[in-house]
Amino acid sequence: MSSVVSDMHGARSEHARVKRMLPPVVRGLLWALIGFLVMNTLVSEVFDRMPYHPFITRASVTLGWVAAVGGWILGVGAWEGAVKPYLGYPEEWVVPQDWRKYFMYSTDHKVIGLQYIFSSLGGFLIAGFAAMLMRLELMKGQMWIFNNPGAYLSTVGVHGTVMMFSVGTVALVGGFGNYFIPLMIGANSTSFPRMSGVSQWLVPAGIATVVISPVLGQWTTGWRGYEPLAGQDPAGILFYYLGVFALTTSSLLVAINLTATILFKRAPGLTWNRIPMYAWGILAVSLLNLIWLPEIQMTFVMALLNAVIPLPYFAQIGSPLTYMEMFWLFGHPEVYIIVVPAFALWQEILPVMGQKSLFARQWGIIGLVFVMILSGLVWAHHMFTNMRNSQMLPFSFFTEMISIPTGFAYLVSLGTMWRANLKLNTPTLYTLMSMFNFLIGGVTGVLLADPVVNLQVHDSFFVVAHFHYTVIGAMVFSWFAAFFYWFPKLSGRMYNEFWGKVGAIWVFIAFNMTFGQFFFLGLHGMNRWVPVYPSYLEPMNFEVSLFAFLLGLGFVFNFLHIAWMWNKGPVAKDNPWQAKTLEWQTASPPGEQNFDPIPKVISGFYDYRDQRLPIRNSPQKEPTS
Amino acid sequence: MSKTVDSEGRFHRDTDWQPGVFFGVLALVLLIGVAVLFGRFWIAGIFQKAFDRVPTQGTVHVFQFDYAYEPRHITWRVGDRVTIALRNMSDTHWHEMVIGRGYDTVPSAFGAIATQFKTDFWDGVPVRISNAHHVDNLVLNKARATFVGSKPNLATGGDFSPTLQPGGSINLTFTVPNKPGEWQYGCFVQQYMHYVAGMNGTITILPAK
Repeated sequence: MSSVVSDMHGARSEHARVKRMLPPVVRGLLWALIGFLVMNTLVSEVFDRMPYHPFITRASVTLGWVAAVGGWILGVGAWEGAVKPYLGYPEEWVVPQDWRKYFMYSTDHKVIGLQYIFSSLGGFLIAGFAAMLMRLELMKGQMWIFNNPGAYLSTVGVHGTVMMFSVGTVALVGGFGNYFIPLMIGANSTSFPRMSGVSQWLVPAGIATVVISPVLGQWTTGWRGYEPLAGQDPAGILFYYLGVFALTTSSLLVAINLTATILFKRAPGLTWNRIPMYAWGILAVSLLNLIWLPEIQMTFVMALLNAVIPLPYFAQIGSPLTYMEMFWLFGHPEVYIIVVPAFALWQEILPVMGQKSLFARQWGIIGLVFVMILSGLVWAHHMFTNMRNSQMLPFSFFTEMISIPTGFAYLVSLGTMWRANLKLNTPTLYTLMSMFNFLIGGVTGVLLADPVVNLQVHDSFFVVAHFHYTVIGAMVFSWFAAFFYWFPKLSGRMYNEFWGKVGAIWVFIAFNMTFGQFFFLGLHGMNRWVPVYPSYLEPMNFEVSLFAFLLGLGFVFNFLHIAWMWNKGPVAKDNPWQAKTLEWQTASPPGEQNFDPIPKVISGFYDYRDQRLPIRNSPQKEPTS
Repeated sequence: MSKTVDSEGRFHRDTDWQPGVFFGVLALVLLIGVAVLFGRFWIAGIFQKAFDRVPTQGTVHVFQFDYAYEPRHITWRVGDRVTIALRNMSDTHWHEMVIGRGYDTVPSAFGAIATQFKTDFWDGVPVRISNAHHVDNLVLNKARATFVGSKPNLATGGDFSPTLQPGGSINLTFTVPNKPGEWQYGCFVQQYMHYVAGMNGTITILPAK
């Protein structure tokens, strides 16, 4: 390290005229600005010039956005790191080995994984802030925080869109997936590291686009972008389509990369029978992403053309229902894109914390795969209000069927815990909480699959409670389980068990008090999508809002705990949980090379009958630096 | 780490970038983002009030969007001959332009909302109406109108207001009447929701020299 530093200083003094590089993020912002101004001007003032048109038109802002994102991606490092090497120039991209590597283009899957984790964390905090504003507004039956209903609806839309496409879809896949999949399958990198380095930078671009969308005008459709309502919305809806396009493209590239990695980069001896559960989860999710993301992207491109040109695809002379079918065709698999990695995480954490072999492993995998397959057959249960009774039956049937493979995830987890000497620490606690929450989310899901119930509680807070139980309750709680379970691996340090548990119990109580009461609010007649409501609902809404603020503070507390212990926590052992999966069989945190040499796998990872390691040559030796 | 040193000593650029610049620019961009997101109307209003004190002569193009006007502020001087060239830029929505002061309100689920202005700016003002295309209807109220070219569909009820279809346009030419002070303009269509959503602006009329 020191010799390298002196070399660099030497190089600097020899070439005194060498310019210090702008921080890549700053360069990206600069090129984004230049790209936008040039393209926007070309479109609105040259190619598509109309009398009396303003400087920014729908067409110009769309193409200007494309140029801005291109400039941003190239500016943060894709130009030197991906484009020039592709054209045959030598790679000149040098990543400083300190915190700065996280704020520039990188091809190291661990850096990319953490970048994805930071990006989703940013999205989570922004969208969480939007949720706090919504709850503040709903403390009173009248408008008092927002001065018009459209502003409230835009806030709901920003909240939902950012949460779904930058947290739900990304946190456990682009984030923990990118970091841990190569480690868990004994590889030193992913299959397409350059593509992966590029894809991460689409996430901040997408989040920023969606968050800034109200500047172009309010949009009232929520995260679903419903047509024909969206077709009547002001231009803000354009930035919804474009931002989501960036975010889904990022997830699509992650899916391609991780699928290829799991298929082709496994260590010798890591047969299909031995693929770790989390890798199975990510594989199932990636296949869902590969199938459904292009579908929804094409739908959004059609809706974008609808709004820019404009075209009547989804208006009265087109087919308004087609949009809803297309959206939910993706929209329901999206729910499983979010929750399947959470199931896999339960099955990853419980055997380790119980030091007991994973129960019925193959049924766990069958559960993940069948959830994946069935998720494509249930979409129309979101649209029971628009269907004939005869059409409802198959969708109601498949929706209720999906609880069977979901049940496998529970049975595998319960069987693993059965008579295990479970270590009740923070990751275990979060896992159990996640299972509890998803049970409620799942059972109310079966209720909602029933047309009779569905038509009664449609568009009420009952539905809002149901899907927050599945998304926050299962996925976000599992996200925290992952944070604490892999904390020693990520940081090389140990969190504080006491404050970890306090944080877990805090968010668990606040979450259940908030969203548990949403069920009752819904049954009492509280509608979704309204900033005002009848005054008899005010006392309960007021009190629910207090718990919601407590929940928000709880999340912030947990993140502060994680950030603090990341820097100041006591140094952890390489494998503090005595886990058998491969990511724990190397240094914590891993060096630049994950494994040196690549280990040879000789048995499965979930057999805790004895202490034997599942690999042959010991990879514990220090990575070369 | 071996990658950080180029074997041939070719260092085109020092990659040891400065944290200060990074955090400074990032903070600035975030600050601008928050200001634009939450305070754009407020900031724009201050700017226009501060710098737009020179009265507009001749034609002022007023564009209607969903749901805003461009410009949001106009300054006139009493006695000047001016034209409002009103144009609806929306692809989907009907928009009007009412000018006045004070509000008539109606109670609603969203609280008391303005339904129209109490005082109509156009009361007794002679106005020449031309270039009317895709005008849904025109309410004259007490304005003294003359028409050039095709006469739009006239309606009654409420303040003077031209309501334009998507892509519609109308020109209103008049001598600024002796009504100095602050005036408002707005669009009250769709159950007054356009006005609530921010489709309004202000006019400053300076007294005659």
